[in-house]
Amino acid sequence: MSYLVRRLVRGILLLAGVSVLCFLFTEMAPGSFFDEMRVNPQISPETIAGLRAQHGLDQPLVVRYGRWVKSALHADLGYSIAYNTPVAPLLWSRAKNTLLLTLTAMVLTWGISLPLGLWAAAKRGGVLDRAITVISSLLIAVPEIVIALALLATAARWRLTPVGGMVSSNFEELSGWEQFRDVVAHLTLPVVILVLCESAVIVRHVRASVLEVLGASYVQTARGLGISRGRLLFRHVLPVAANPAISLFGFSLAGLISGSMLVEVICGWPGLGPLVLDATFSRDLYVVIGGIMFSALFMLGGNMVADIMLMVSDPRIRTGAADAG
Amino acid sequence: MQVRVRCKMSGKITWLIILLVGLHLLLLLAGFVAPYDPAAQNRELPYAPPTRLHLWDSSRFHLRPFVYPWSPVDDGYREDRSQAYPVHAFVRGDSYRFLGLFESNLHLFGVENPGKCLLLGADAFGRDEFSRVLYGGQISVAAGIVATAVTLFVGSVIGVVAGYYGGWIDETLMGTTELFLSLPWLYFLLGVRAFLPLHVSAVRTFFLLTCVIGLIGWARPARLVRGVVLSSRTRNYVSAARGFGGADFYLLRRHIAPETFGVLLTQAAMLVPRYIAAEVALSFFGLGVNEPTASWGNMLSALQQYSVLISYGWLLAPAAALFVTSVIYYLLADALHSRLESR
Amino acid sequence: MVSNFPTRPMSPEPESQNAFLRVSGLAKRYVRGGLWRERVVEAVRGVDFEIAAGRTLALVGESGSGKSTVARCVALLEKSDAGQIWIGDTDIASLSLSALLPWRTQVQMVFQDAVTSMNPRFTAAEAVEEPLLIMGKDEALRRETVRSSVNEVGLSVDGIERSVMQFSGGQRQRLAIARALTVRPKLLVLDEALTGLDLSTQGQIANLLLDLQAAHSLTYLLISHDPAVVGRMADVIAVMAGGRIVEMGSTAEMMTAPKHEETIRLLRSARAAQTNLAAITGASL
Repeated sequence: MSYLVRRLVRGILLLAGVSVLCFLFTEMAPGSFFDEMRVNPQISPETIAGLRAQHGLDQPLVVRYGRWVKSALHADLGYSIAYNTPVAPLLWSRAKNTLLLTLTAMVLTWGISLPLGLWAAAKRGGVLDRAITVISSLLIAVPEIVIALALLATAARWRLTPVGGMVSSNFEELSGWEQFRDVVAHLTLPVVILVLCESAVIVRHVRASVLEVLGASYVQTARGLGISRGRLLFRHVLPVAANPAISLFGFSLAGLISGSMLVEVICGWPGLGPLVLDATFSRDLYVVIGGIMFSALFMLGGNMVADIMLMVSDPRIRTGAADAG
Repeated sequence: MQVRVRCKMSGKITWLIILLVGLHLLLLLAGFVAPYDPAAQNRELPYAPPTRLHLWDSSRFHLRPFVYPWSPVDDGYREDRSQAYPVHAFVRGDSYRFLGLFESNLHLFGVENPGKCLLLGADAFGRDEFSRVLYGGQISVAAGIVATAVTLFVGSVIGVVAGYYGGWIDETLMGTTELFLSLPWLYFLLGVRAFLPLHVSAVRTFFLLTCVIGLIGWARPARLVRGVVLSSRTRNYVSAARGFGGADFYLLRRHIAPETFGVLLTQAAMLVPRYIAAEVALSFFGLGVNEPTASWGNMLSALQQYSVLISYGWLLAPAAALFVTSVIYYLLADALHSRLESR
Repeated sequence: MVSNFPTRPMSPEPESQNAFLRVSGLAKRYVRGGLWRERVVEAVRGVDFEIAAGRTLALVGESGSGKSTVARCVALLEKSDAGQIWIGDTDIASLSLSALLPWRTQVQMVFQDAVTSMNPRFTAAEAVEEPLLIMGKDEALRRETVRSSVNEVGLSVDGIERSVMQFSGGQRQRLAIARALTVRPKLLVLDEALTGLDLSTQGQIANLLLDLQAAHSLTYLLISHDPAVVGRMADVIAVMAGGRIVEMGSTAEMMTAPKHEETIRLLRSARAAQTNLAAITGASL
């Protein structure tokens, strides 16, 4: 239990660290949203000053940070200057879409990679194993943006899936089931891109750790005792091989969230990515900061889930045996 | 500093390095290899498809390939077979600065005006895609390399300090690496870029870009270097050298630093393609190198329009170039990594 | 109890009774653990002994008894927490780091594992000249000293441009000794320097060390757990257990009439090992 508490404290410290970093950068930012307005002779300097005061941008850094933290704890992340609406609900509506994309990709990735990695390791040297090694190497070597563009071009050229957006223009008129199918159709391309990129990494790790376990002496002993292959794999090998795989979970989630930004922009999926990108262009600082904090929050949340899973699956962590000595 | 260079490299690594050097040489000599100036527009040939090279015409076989010019028709282009332009080698064309040193106008190949040899087609302004891929490659690959240098420098300094001095310095620094490793890097990159001025000169953008990309990724190399330093620090020969009166700096320079070179080299091979991709992504978003300077990223951003994407496939050429570059670097990194492990 | 081990013939009384090295009240502790937990290990808890010039004192004991720690403190590789280390009139344990520099040439350590005590990327020449390089001696002097040192340990100068890894275990140990000799030390700390070598090589290196001791009046602090080696090389034996010296005396006494239970135990287990070895190999002592 103390293990979880310590990880939680660490997570909170990390979040605090990220927020401090973000704010430090705003101090260094030589331009602001109002620079554009300043050039415009129709807007008087008083109006600009008033707007700045309204958004609290004339306060010193520490005060701004303090106020932001206080309001953040009340789930108020400031005000978006460009959209003229509070940041938090704006982010949340987009974040839901990103979550949908990321979680779907996560589930599919692990759903594909675990069995594939297991199989490849079990039939080591076979056709499947070699095919997986080559294909995964290729997918890792090629940058995500290339894969995304290639798949986008293919999908667009041959009209495989709808391109752009989350729903079609006639979404309102569709029945419930058709609405679901519509979203799924739009979801396909971005998910496929994410899954391809991520599972290449995961399959290799699963394969490697299963191979390591298979070579261990207690597995050899079990085989010598005549345990069936299936039972061997699932009762003995998988639980142990799962440990490094679960540790990978956190990093994998990090990669997915980062990657999802790129994929969202390219495929036109209305998630956090395009929002933060636009905010970057319009120098809408609170949106950018909020976006970064949200994604960091997701990541840390995912890491916590991984830690819990690790604790559940690995008795050594529960009893603190690993810490003694 | 005595550094023993292992001259017996495996064949595979040698070939990959040759390939890589060739690639970089090609990009360095972009001015020479590219037939046209990357900013030279041909307003009458927007989105012209790649020029086809012919060896046969209606009468006979020609040893020297030739091209037909494109003439616009309703929804595209048609080859105008009335005039043929043979392709010559070592022609005089647009002038350029060779390696930034002196002016020249000698090009590897070209056709006589007003013929155009657009090997990879043209973009919206009729600019030669092939030339732009070469020039753009200079920017993108250079960004990747410089950013890698920044990362490895920062990472190794921090890794050495953390690994050698240990204690609370080590704990704080490693905590910071955890912070950086757990950030979604693209979001953070965007964030950092967001807080910097949007429109600056191309040179400043380049440096800004590479520093930003480089400073995000220092965490992993730092950890790896720290690991190497930690394990070398306690070796007996280091203790012995200290027993002879060797100072910290001597020990680091003579005994510990050489151990890190293998790791750093492998990291370099892995990071360069990733950072090139980062530059491409940023420029694609419009936050990197801006027009009119070509980079693979801002060339690809034209494809964000649906119509362009499905009709003018040759504009994916920068993606293909990025693909080739990444694969070669990755193979090299893989080979170096295996060699490091086996030693 | 009659010992089967070959013992060192009694040497004539030294001219001067002055001890070269005198250790008094040496203590050292280690702190393990990170930010949250700490564990203190008292490696050495107050150790006194002295070695006369030109003589050998052997420190024996089980692993964990603290003998390696004592060796490292005497060799100035670690700083002791308490106690004094006298060489002549100076307590080198109390000197600051910068004041210690000239003393580092007086005391040198030869490590157990020659493989790890020299950088595998170095050539033999580079490894042997390193102390001189650190001290800033010029190239001609370095080359000359390296040649003479290498010759003294019985190696040919021809092969010293080869990599360290190309030498055999015994040869590497000779190189380590040559390296230590380049700075003309007065005291050599031999930390298990003969452990891990095969028996015949062990004998050769032991003979080399004895010859060198006679030629240069070197004083040795020998750390070992092998009574055969100890019997061959030491004048005085000190037995350590749990961070303290439990018995000390001349070699002959200790071998023939040990008093402390720890000494008896060590002798007995070593003798058993030797008997087994003889049974297995059929060799006679």
